[in-house]
Amino acid sequence: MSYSIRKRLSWSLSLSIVLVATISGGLSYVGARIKANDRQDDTLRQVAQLVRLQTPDMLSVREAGNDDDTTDYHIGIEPINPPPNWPASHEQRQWPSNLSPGMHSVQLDDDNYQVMVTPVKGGALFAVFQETDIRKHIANASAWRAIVPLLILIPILLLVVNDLLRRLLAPINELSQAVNHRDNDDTSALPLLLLPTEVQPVVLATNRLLSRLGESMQAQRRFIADAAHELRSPMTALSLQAQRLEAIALPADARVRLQALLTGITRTRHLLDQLLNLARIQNAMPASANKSASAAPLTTPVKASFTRVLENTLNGARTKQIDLGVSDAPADEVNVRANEDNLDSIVRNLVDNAIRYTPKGGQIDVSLRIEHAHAIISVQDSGPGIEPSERLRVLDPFYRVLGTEQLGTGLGLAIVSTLLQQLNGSLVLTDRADGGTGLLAQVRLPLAH
Amino acid sequence: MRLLLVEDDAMIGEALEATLREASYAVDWVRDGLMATTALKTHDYELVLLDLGLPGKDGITLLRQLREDGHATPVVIITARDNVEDRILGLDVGADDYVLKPFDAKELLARMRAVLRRKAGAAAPVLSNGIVSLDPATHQATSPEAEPSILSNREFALLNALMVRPGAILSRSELEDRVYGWGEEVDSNAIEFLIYTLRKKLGSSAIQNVRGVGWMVAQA
Repeated sequence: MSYSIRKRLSWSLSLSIVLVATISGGLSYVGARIKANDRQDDTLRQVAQLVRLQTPDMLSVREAGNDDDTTDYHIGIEPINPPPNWPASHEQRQWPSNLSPGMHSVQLDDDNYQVMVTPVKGGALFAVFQETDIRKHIANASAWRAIVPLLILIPILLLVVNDLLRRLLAPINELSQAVNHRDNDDTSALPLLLLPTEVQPVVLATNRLLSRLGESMQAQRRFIADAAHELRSPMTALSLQAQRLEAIALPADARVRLQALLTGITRTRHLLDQLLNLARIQNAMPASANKSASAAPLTTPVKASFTRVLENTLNGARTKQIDLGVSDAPADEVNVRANEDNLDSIVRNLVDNAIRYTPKGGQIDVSLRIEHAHAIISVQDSGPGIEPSERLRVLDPFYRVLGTEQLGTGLGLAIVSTLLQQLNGSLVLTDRADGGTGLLAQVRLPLAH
Repeated sequence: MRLLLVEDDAMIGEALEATLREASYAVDWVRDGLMATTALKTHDYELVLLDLGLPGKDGITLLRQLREDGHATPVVIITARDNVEDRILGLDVGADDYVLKPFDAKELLARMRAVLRRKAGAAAPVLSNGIVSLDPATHQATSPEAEPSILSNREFALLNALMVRPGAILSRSELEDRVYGWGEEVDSNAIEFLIYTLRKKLGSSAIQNVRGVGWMVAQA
């Protein structure tokens, strides 16, 4: 399963931050409340210390006169059992008479109170008290104040973390983009600069792999060159010896057999050529194609290629009394983006195939037209054509339509389609547009500028 | 005519040596580059057939040294190296032709003859493709289908253009370039008319039309 490190990190870090923030916010909230409660209890105790030094009379005056001054803390002072001379306050609470000196939580009617009971001068017990609701309100307010900075900072932290992640992982993104956009045959090392040290081992390993791959591609190419040489040498000797036989006076039936032998040799030579061509094309490196660009121009006039191909194929066509020619080519010169050898090879293979499959007395038309900045090269024959179901498979090397007796190599169309892939062209095999029997092979190649 | 064959493969060497002897050449066959250098120093050859992949000294190095030493001996490379770069390198270093293995004995002999002809200076006195022959000195053309006849200047120019390389197809504009001078007015069917008169003199199959491309004389 594939996953993105950035997304994972982003999610897990964000989640951790939110989680930690929630827990620490909750803890500070609770802590702040407890602290506020303690502080309020301390206040009650301190007030009680002061109350303890007063006489009930002094307290009654104070109570009567300053009822509203304690609004901030809402601390009240009342006797547990009001003496007879106690001024009738509008709000004397009925404290339970059994309250002992010390801190108590007391419920009176619907209200809860935190009460510090203390004796005053003369021994009467007084209650220094505060309403629990007010205490809670004050505690909550201070608890909220404690977590407000956290609430503001968390979103900022989330944004910063995600931005950091994006920045830190950008070189890796760039690296994968660069790898994605490489040519298939590019085995040069990936750049190590500006990459984080964590990724460098991967890149180093990839570079080692690339260099081994490059070496093996090189070895493959050398193998093809060596194979070409090793196969061609004995073929040359064989062919020369057989041709020497031809010059000698031979009995008639020996001559027939020699002809069969020569035909076989020719066929093997052709197969060898095609095989090596295909192998070389498949291993062609774009870099090396560029290297040879100065020697062999990458733009080739199409009509010159037609002429060269026809010069080489006319004899074969005339032996089968096939009318091979060029129909409607534009008067102006048309150049395509391909080197001479490759273009000739494409046209040659299509014409060779047409000659092979066209019956005696048939006709083959080679033509050229321009369509949307592309050259369309067509080779149309009057042979049996190819069934639609077979048209893709005939591009495979060595695939041959069942029932044909022709002695092709089975490589011609494979060479054409491989070359066209490299030249950004395409090959389409269809029925003839005019309804006659035969194959229409259309090659599409980009024009050179 | 004496020539040097430089070829390390025994099978090819033997077959080629025999083929060349049968074609009336005197052949010295050496199997490596060092021996080839020695042979070239001690004998005069009219042609060298040179393989490229040689033990001792590579064919390209050998050829380069030969040219640096001022030898103008024609060299035909016979090799299995078939890529464009090798072909260009071989010709640039000083080869006169490049024949790819495996080759037809007849083709190799024809190319050797062509190289020798070019070296002799002017083209061969009589051009022939085995069917039609043309004598540049007298403008006389002969063909098995007709009596020998003398050609007009324009007929000769046209047939000569085709006979220089039998099998090559020349388009109408290429033929016009060769038959008519600069600034000369050319009728649209002038070339067809010349071909018509040539066919009348030499037989209808002497010059072949290639539909949509041009004309040629058959290859030998």
